[in-house]
Amino acid sequence: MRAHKDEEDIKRDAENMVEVQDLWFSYDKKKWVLKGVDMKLKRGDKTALVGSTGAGKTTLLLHLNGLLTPDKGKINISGTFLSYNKKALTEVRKRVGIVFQNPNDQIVAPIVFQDVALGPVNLGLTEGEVKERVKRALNEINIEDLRDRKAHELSEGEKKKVAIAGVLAMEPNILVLDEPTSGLDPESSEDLLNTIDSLCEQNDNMSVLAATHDVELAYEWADRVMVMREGEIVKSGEPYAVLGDEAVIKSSRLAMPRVLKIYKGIEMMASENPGMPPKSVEELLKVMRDNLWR
Amino acid sequence: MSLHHTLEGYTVSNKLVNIRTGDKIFFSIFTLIIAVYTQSLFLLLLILFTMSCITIWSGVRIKHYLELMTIPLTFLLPSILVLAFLRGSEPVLTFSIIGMHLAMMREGLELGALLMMRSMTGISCLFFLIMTTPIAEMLDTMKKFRMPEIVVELSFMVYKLIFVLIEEMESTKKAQDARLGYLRGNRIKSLSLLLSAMLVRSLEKAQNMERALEARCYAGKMPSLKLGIKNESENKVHIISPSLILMILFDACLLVMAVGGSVI
Ligand SMILES: Nc1ncnc2c1ncn2[C@@H]1O[C@H](COP(=O)(O)OP(=O)(O)OP(=O)(O)O)[C@@H](O)[C@H]1O
Ligand SMILES: [Mg+2]
Repeated sequence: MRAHKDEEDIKRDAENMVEVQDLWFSYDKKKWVLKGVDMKLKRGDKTALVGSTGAGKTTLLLHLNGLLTPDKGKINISGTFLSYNKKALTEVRKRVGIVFQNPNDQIVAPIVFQDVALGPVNLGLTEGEVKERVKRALNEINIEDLRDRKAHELSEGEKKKVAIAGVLAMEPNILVLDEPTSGLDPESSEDLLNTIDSLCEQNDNMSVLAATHDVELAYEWADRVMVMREGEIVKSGEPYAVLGDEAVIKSSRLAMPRVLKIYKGIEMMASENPGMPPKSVEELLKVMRDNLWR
Repeated sequence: MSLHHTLEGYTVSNKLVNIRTGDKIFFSIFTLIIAVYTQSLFLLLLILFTMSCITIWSGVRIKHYLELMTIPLTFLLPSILVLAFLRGSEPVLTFSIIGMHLAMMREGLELGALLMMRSMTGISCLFFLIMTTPIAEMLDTMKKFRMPEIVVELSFMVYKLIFVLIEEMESTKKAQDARLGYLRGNRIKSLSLLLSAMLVRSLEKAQNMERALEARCYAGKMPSLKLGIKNESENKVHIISPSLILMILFDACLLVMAVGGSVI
């Protein structure tokens, strides 16, 4: 019986780590903030959730580890439907780690290692295990040198990393980030995204979901993109297919990634198929060279 | 840097951080009790001076220490002054304002001075504790002494949220100052706006903090600084330590002076 269930779990696991079905939610019971959200996250995928401000991204993310309880709908995490008793919630919070938008809200202890240890300590692990987890989490995102620093003395980018380490110390296999690059300068953003990428490479079971209104970031970084508009997911799929859909982008009050916009222009001018859509400026230049300056 | 971070910075990097928290709590509370019961102005001064010196020596900047000391002082001074007019019969200073005759009494002045010294001394004892002991250690020790969990958790929340309030107040005030909100006639309106804005934003922050804690399965445990010590030497559990004995001796001296009453 037990073995049978495990098998089923694994089968489901292999496909979708997270499945949200027809999720409805309202803060004040007057206005719906989520209006029947359906979404799936695949194991090992990097997914970007894009939407303009107030679309309900944060609200959706908070549902994924039971911080908010839906008014209607179901959430399935690695094959188990979310229930809202204390024990089940602890379990799901070990699996789904959420990094909040503002690291200052998330970092509560004065010293970095203390804050990273918060999750493990509250899970009731032994001191040895806690130390081990802190070490591993700091190592995973390359901030061992920050271990003994005072948290409030760190730069904004370093704080973000510490916040992520605090979540990683819980050893989740689904990492959820709310606006990971907001408030960072371009270099720190790039650095943070590289860190997340190398994290995914180290651990191919890890799925990452990042909410953002930065379409450029979503286009370059993600394997899959979902567009959210007024509490609904209006389109999801390959970055090119989703972010290149002018109608969807316009109606969601977003802008098309620049690289893609230029590529579309070339597509119209060129007599034949200009080749694969470019991901970066370098690739775009190559398309231009091949098609326009021949 | 904000008050919160200044304080938190001191608690983790002062010279007394390795003294056991229990010892520090014992020392601070016991000295406080002596300060509450003694009638000797000299003894109060002695305690105030010693406690301030230890705290400053341990690494707190004098400027910050004095700044923090003035906060309770501003609350205390007016009430102490009022006392001087109400108690006693021997006037030292008389004057009249708009037809009212007021007299400052000797007895009232003396009582006020004693009361103020006592309060400031008590505060110096508590400042010693707050500025040399990280909050996590404090909570840990409270738990060890079998304080109810709710009290421990509440202490942590209050500690965190007081600073949230202060920070919000500072930033809201800055925003209003920038828009000249405190010009004549605008005061009351600005102030009430300040308070409501502050409350709303603090509530928001508190909610964010609560969610962040909940997301990491927070169950009332703060990781202690001891986790940072790489080689384990804290396994030996002694009730008595040299620092504790030193502190007991110090308090014993104070006690003898207080009870003996021979010094004034
Ligand atoms: N605690 C709350 N109480 C009431 N309404 C809320 C609360 N939090 C958010 N809302 C409302 O829910 C809607 C969606 O907010 P949400 O924060 O999920 O959007 P978002 O897509 O994350 O936006 P942003 O990009 O600005 O972060 C907004 O209209 C917002 O006003
Ligand atoms: Mg948001």
